[in-house]
Amino acid sequence: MASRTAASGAATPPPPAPDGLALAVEAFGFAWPGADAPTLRSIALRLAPGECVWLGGASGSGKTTLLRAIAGLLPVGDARGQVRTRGRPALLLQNVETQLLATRVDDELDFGLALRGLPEAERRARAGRALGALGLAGFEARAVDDLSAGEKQRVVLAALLALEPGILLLDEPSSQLDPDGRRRLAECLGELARRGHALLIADHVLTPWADCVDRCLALDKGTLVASPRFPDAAARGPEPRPLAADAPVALAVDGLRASDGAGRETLRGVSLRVAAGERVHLTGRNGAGKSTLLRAVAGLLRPAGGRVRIAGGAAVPGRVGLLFQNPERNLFERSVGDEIAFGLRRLGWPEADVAARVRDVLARCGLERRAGRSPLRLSFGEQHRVALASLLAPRPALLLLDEPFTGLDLESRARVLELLDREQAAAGFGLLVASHDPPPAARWAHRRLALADGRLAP
Amino acid sequence: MSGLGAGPVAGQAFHYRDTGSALHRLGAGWKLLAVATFGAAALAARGPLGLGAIAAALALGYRGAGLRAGELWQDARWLVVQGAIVVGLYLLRDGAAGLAPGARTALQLLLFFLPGALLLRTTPSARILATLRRALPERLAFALSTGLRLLPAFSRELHEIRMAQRLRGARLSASDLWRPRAWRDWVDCVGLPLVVRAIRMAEEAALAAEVRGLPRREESA
Repeated sequence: MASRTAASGAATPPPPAPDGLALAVEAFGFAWPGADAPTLRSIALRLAPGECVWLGGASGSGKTTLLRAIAGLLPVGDARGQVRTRGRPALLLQNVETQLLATRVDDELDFGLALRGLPEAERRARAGRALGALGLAGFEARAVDDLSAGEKQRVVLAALLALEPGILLLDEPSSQLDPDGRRRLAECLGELARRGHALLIADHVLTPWADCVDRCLALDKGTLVASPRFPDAAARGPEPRPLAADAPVALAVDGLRASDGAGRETLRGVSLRVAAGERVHLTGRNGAGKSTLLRAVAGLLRPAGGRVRIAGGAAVPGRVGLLFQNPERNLFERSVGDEIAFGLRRLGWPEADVAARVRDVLARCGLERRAGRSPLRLSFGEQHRVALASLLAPRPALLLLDEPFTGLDLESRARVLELLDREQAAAGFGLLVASHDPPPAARWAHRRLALADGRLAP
Repeated sequence: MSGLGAGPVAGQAFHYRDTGSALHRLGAGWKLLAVATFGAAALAARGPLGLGAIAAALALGYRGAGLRAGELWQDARWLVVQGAIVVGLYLLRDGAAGLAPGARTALQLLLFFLPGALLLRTTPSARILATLRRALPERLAFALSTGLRLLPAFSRELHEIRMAQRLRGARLSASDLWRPRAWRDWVDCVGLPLVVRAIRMAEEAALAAEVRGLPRREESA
């Protein structure tokens, strides 16, 4: 069988798929350069035009590699088997910010069309059609930086659609969207499928796409397997322990006001209490002010008014921990052990106590065997746990988590929930989680609050 | 330690803002030429007089473009941090004798990059790209314009990393800048994660451009 080298790149379209198919993958395998084992093994996958397939699988199971293989965007590696598509494939990557290559919507759409050398009238017509198909008619002159996360993602998708691909590949399209953004995208994807586009959606969750998906598959350690129709239901987490009536206050926020850099008021008088041992889940759309609230509580930005007390005192390192969305931002030490020790050393703990606490935290977080490894060489899920462990180490009175489940597969989410439950039982910190999603396990939090327009909804 | 609470709110450094000034209306080609000239002059200048003249011209440029002093500070502040690190390294190497050459190098770096910041403030990136494309090969034009395009994202990233690390006890507040012992934290706790993130973002942008049909290097070579 003719083997396509994976280095063919975007400039060379894959060989055409057999009649009546949008995609035909046969006995495809791939190993990344320098890897011990192949990431993908003997993959067979066929998609008809207008068909929408959901591809699940744990982190590291090879979803992104398979999408890149179909798009012809793998580096030179050990590739075998064959990938054939009808027309050029288009791939929507995970991070929308780095896919926006221009500052205005029309320039964004024109980027790829100009590279094709199409005449200007044709370019404008295609851009207009693509924007219309994604509910963005009239957006041509808008600045991309002013758009919401969902609109940005649909602009990138429109830019791909304007190139008239034979198949659309989407890599974790739900991860940066709030439920509203997902609903809009799901509607658009359903419409694209009805118009005859083949769609392959790789995502940790199926629910947002359930209405437009025809078939569910999953990757398991590089092999394609049939997936149960609704795997999301598997997300489980321990239920909260009853709170003592006299539990001390971990967080007291009164009348908090804050503005963003442009002077827009993002918090308009927020008051809130979190007790020691309590779990509060705060939801709200992208831009509702959740991140601003967490940063103001952590003392990282100066509020315009109001008061924040953490365990009766000010927000200082050690007393409050904040986990940011991307664990890479937290990690810099040579080893996982040093990473966890960093904050303790800065708090002036004696070295013997630091060593004992680091051993303790590593064991509690299931990281003993990673103690000597470089944090940057770990998987995303492990990096996430190292960042969390380094926040837990100084025994904070309050832990703040900003979108802690983004990019984690269901198993990793359940692990994080269990870890937090165990640590909370042992240390009794207050926990405030901000997310545009409900908790991964329905009954995990003591209380759920919603932030809208800078105010807490009752 | 002054602790937390003094951090500025996330701004949009290097961000285009239309004030309708004459500098905004000037052709992108002329502005690119001016950026190159000023950058070269900043690297060539040795004496305080020459560097002072360039600094004054740039301040006038920001003013003439109708931009606020706060916006100049937004653009300049991470270069000031870099400058502090440069001076620190000179002091470590040469002792007190390193102060003058260190300060000069730091100022040169600041004056080398600021004209580019002023260009971004006054020119939409599509116009910059269109101009670059006329003069440069496609790949180089793409690399330059994407670098410019990602600068605001890098600046946000820097801000987020700094916040995360300060909360872990890293010495990164403005008052810590004057304490040489704290400079290491800028390199270790901010510099390293920032480089990791920057490489990741650059890879993603290159892949996104390939998806839209920008040829790969081995093919265009």
